[in-house]
Amino acid sequence: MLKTKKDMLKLLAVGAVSALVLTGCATAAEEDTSADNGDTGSSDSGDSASQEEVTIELARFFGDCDDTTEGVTDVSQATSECEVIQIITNAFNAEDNGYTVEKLGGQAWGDYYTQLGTTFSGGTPPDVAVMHQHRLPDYVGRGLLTPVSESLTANGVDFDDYTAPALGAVTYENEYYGVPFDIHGSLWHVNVDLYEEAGLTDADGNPIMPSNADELLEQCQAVQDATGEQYFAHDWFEFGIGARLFLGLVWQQGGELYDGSTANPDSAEGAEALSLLNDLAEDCSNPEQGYTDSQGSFLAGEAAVLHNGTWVVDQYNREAGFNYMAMDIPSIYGEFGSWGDSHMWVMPTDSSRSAAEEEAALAFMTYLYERVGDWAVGTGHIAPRDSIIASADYSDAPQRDNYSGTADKARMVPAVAGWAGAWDALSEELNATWVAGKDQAQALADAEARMNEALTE
Amino acid sequence: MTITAPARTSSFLIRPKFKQTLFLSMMSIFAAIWILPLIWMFSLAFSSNEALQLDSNSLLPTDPTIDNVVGVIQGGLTPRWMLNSVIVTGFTTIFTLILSAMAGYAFARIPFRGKKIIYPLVLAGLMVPREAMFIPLFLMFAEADYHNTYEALMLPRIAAPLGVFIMTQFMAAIPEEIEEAARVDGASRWRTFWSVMMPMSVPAMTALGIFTYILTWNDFLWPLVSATQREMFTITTGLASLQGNFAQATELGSLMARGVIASLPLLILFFIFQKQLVRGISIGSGGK
Amino acid sequence: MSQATVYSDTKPAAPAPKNKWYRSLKKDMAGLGFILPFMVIYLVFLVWPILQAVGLGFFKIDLLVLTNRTFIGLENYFRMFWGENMQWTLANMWDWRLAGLLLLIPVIRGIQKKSLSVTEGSIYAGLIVIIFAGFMGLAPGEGGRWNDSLFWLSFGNTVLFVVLSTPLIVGIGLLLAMALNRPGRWTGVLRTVFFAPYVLSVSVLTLIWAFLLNPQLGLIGELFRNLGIDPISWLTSSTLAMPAIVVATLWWTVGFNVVLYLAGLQDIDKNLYEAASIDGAGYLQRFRDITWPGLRRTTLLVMVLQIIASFQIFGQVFIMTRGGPNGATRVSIQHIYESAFRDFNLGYASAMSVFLFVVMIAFSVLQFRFSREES
Repeated sequence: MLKTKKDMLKLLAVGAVSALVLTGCATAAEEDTSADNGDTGSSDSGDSASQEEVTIELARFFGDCDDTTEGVTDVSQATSECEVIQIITNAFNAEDNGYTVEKLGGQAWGDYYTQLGTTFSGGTPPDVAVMHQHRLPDYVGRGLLTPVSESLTANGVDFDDYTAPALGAVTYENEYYGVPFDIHGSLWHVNVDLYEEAGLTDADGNPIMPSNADELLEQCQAVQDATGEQYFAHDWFEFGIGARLFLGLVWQQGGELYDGSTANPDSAEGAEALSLLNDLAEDCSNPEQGYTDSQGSFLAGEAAVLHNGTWVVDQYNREAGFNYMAMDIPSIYGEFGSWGDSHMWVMPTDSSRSAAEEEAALAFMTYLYERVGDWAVGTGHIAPRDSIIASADYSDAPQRDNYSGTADKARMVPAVAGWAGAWDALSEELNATWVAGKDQAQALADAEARMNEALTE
Repeated sequence: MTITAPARTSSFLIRPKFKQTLFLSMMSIFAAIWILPLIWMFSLAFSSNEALQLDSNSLLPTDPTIDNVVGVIQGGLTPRWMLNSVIVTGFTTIFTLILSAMAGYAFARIPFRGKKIIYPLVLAGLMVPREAMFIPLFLMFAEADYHNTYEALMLPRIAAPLGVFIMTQFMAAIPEEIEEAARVDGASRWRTFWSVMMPMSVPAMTALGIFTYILTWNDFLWPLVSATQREMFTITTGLASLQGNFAQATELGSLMARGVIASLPLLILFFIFQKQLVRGISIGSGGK
Repeated sequence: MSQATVYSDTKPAAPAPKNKWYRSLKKDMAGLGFILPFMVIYLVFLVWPILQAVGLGFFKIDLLVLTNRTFIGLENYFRMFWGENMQWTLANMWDWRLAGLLLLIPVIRGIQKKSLSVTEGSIYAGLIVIIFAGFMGLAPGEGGRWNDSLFWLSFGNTVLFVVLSTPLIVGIGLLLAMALNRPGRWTGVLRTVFFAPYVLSVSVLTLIWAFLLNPQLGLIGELFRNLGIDPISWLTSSTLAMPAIVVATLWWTVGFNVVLYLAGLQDIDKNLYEAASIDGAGYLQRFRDITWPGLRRTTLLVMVLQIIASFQIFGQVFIMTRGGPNGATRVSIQHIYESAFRDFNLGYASAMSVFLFVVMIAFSVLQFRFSREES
């Protein structure tokens, strides 16, 4: 019996402890999410809502950097892609406009679309969401996004100022479904010091880019012989970056990956591109490196070239402890060809959204349209608006001249329903050749079958 | 026989003692290695982020600081996630205990018709892979528009056949006379249950409670699909959501501090209640 | 409770009639009343989802627009189990199939010993033959392919994980339990140490191990460097990633099995050991004759729980490797999760859940049947 009494006491003790924890957390959480309170109140308060803060929900990837950007509204202080968008959001919230934007997402982008999907099926989609252009058909095709052509034009958004590829990205059946935020692509991030050591720089000290496959492999030999470091690095298996280079190389040969109805990676161009990639993996790189590792070895000066996107240009420009240059993907097969995509902001359709909330969402999208320049200058992405491209701020930003080809000739992956699954299938099959030694012809045949299956799903 | 016997006993006494010590020291070394990863986490959590950029392999905090822990408590969503976890876990545990005790009492003590069919049906639930059944549950809550609520996080966890099994086993072992005495005094079934059987079952309930607490706190897949709003994450899914973003490891100390904060409540609970927990697991396994 | 009102029309006074029928009704009401709250939750959130999963498996359901449902019959199952240019060959996966056919031995022995009825035994034997000799001989022939090769890849990885982890986690759990099954304060401390990781959540586990295994940042890499070996990048190697995850899982969950085995060891009569040592039985002999038979029930429980848990592996791989590199650690639950939430295909995801459910139940039932036959 005594034992039971003791147990009782312990139970009480735990009760007390958890009560303490609970109250401690509660006060902390209250400060933390005080903005929450307006959320439910605003939807039913109607017209009087203009007096209170209207809170809208924003879903995005780009990561979580609340801690380092708390209270910061000056975008020039940003040190990463995440911080740029968070500071722009902070600045919008700080303006006296009666609107508050509350972030929903922020997770690693591998999770973003799965989590976005659950918000739709749960009937609680966000008010504004970021989206890639290749995902748009999946959502618009199901009637899940609200067209914004008229409402945003009324807000002062000049759609004519957008570049043609950017505008194409948000267009679906003659309606605009969002505001483009950038165009992004793949780049050759170069450690010029290693190039110089290998004697691969021109009179101005700029790295010489290879113009065919043989030259590429010769450069690889030269760099590795002269410096002892790895020539080429990129994420070989995590985020489908190998497939991006593959696509670029297919386009460079005048080939296509998608003909408007079916995917056809199993082509002569595909075989050539895949074989070159495998040569790179085998002789010039370390196919066991993923995104973080490859980036780490480049920044540590252990790789002459890192194939990665436009989003890291400004970050590398700041952080690299060597002579760094961001270059266009070299034209190995004559023509220019490089993977590209676009980020855009869309407004999911939600019948429970109040007029005030819709107004707030549109105001935020308009604001993001206005800050397109800050985004491009702060990250390295290509601006999607003519007036921004012509601006001094943009052209003065570091490195931009070095990859003007990517900016001018950007071309995007097909926007077609089911593309995400098809792309993953392609990526997995290609990865299998350099990670697991899968037969290249078989991989391409499997990729074609799996891609088309995903596209018809 | 008589001559050899003393010699044998003496060697029998000395050698095992030496062997015992040797054995225990070896086990201790092994245990030290076992606990090393946990110590490492604590050490990193109390090291400054800058120092960790240079060396992250120390088992004692380098450049010791509590900034990471303080920073996590003060800023960001981690406190909110902790609150969510405490609420969800707390209520799930309480409801599991009450419902399991009630059902356990009925199965152990009330001879009602249908029991012989219903009880095996409940026990069969022990074999159901609950994690694997998240799709229909997701759909169910989606259609009711109930995701991102505490109820959605709690309800599927409360239906624990293990709790009923443990409580039935335990209550069946309580001497019949104690309950009879109360019944003779004119107490209703409910009163008997509440004021006699429940207090008698505290040991089993403590164990079941802790066990439920651990399992619910550590639940991952269901909160991942049901709670998609950041404010509704539990500490377990919240911490997972941060791991992709900190891949560069520039904030290793802060990240580990979150790990420490997320596991501390359970580690403390475990150190207080480990006896009861162990007993509970044995009851659950059908032992004594 | 309100059961008194039931009879109040005929006899308003409180004392109940000494009526047998009434008394048993009262007991029924009380019993059902007490189990009702649990049963409601149990039926709604545990039993109903299983039935629902079976039903949903026959539909195509769009995650983004839940009302978009079409009945497609067995198409989801066709996608899982079939492919282009399917051929039956004797050689396909012959090693696994041969191992599977070995299951026939205990079944036949069971029938011989009459612990299995002839009908039941024949059903098991028939199923074993159909699955291992028949079904598993099917594979895409030259130029063919599975409709969903990822389904088989992830299922294969899941089985691999179960096969690698179950004997390890159960075996080491037993060894540790036997080592720690002695009185004393210090052994108590050691028990605590080995159990402690079990209370961590999966995201803390991955937090620790992802960095621990990281060749640049982790302790293991440091150890390798000190030994003069190049650190291995465990989680990015397609051959080592799965073993690394098994080891992390072992560290995390073995404590639970230790406790179960400790409880089982306590139940074994100490006198048996004394009698055996007087008889001069060696350590191994005592283990074989006393410990192992005495732990039969515990082992069954540990195995069933372990297999059910291992089949449902998800968190560790999802956070640490995302199923990579190159699908080497992609598991069934991840495939279900992605089919539902990336490809928006809830019906197909349900069908795969049903398959996984059936496999796990089959394992549990087999184990229960076999252990009953042994004892």
